[in-house]
Amino acid sequence: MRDRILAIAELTFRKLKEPAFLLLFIFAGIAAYSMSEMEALSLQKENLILAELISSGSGSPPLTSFLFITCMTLLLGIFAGATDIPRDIDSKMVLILVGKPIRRTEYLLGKYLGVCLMCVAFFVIAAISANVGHIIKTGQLYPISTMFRQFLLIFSIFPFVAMTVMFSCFFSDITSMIIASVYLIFSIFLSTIPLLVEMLPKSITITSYLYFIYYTCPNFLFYFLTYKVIGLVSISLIIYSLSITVIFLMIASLRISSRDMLS
Amino acid sequence: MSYSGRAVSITFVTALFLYFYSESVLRQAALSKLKSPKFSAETILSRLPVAFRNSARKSLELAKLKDAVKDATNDSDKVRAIVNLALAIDNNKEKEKLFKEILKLPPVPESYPAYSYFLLDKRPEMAISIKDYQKYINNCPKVSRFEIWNNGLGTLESKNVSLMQMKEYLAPLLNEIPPYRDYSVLYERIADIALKSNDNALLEKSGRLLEKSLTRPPIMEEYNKKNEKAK
Repeated sequence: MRDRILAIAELTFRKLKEPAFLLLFIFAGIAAYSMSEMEALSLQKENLILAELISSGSGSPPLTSFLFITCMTLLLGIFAGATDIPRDIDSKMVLILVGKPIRRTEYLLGKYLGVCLMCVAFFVIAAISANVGHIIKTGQLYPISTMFRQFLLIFSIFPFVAMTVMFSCFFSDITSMIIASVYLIFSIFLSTIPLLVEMLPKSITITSYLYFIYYTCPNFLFYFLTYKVIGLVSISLIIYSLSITVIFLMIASLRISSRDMLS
Repeated sequence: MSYSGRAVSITFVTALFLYFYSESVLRQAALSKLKSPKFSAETILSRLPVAFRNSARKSLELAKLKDAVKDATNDSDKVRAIVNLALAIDNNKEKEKLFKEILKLPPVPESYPAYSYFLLDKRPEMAISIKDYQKYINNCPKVSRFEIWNNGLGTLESKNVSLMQMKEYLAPLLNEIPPYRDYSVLYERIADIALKSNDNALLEKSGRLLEKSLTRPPIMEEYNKKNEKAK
């Protein structure tokens, strides 16, 4: 089973050879290099609640250059994750693949792993470029804890790609790209719900409804907080990413198992 | 259920559990940073458009008052919180419901808006008689009584009760030495009633007590002394 999943993942990962992806890699490398001297992510506006949330606390903050790299990676995640399965279905490639002794869930996991690998490769290349830029400009490496903190941003890729892959199992490529983008924007807005609830008096009874809506989307704000690299928060962040990933992939698996691949 | 079906269910439930658990840890970690007092509901309100701000502020104030009722630890605090909530609510039915709730609690000086609200109410099952109101006043500390007398008087005036009922209400004041200067207002009112009803004896007595009340210290002085002692 593992070999079959890895074979599909490899097939997906090979798409990196396409000129569009190569161009994106080169652009990310150059942009990360030129942004390597940007400071820790902080929103300077006074009294802004999000600024306080992101900047305060002890530990390592995410760097602005790595925020950029993460956003670029997520963009790649939308392009690759939302289009791969619908295009395989449109081109009937999926029939060739699942006609072999490959189960649909294995095909889905392979696709997911392939896209994740692409995104992680993209992130790592851009991160190396940012580090090289930092060394050339300052003659120093980033502190180890800061580096680790930046690499924890990778964990935002896994649920995000799972989410786009899930949408791609339901809709066509363009539609799933649009829905994934809208869902991302929606979840960023919803991530402020706990802050809002915290500030409202307890008697306001809409709290439970707000939380119900809030739980339908991942909270991507958690990835950009300042915290200690080794600690409960980091472990929780990893568990959070993996659990959402599993939930999204299970929904995707249910859909692809029942889907008519000829339509 | 097949083996794979069971495995899927178990995986899904475990993932859900881990999702909620890890989310709650991350949420608490994030919110612990927002303990600064500058971040409050006011911060949100100040960012709302003016059109929504006033109605939102009213709702927030009511919610805060409801919180105060829930958080009250003793009868006195609870009554004070309910009174504040009742006075802030525009809906009369809701207000009345809250005042009824106060009457169920042990009487404390802070309960007076509820007692005053039902004083000589038209509905007999809810009405508080003049005698009961006076009994309630006598159970309150001396320093709080003037406010309660005055509030009851205001209610009776708004209900246009007869001179006889006014006399009956204020009668106990004629049998005690005025404790504070503020009582002069009440004696002036008794004098008015005496004039209207041509009751010379009452006029004379109220005049004497009015003069006496003017020689007494004001209630504020008593409060200040109490506050200084508390410090």
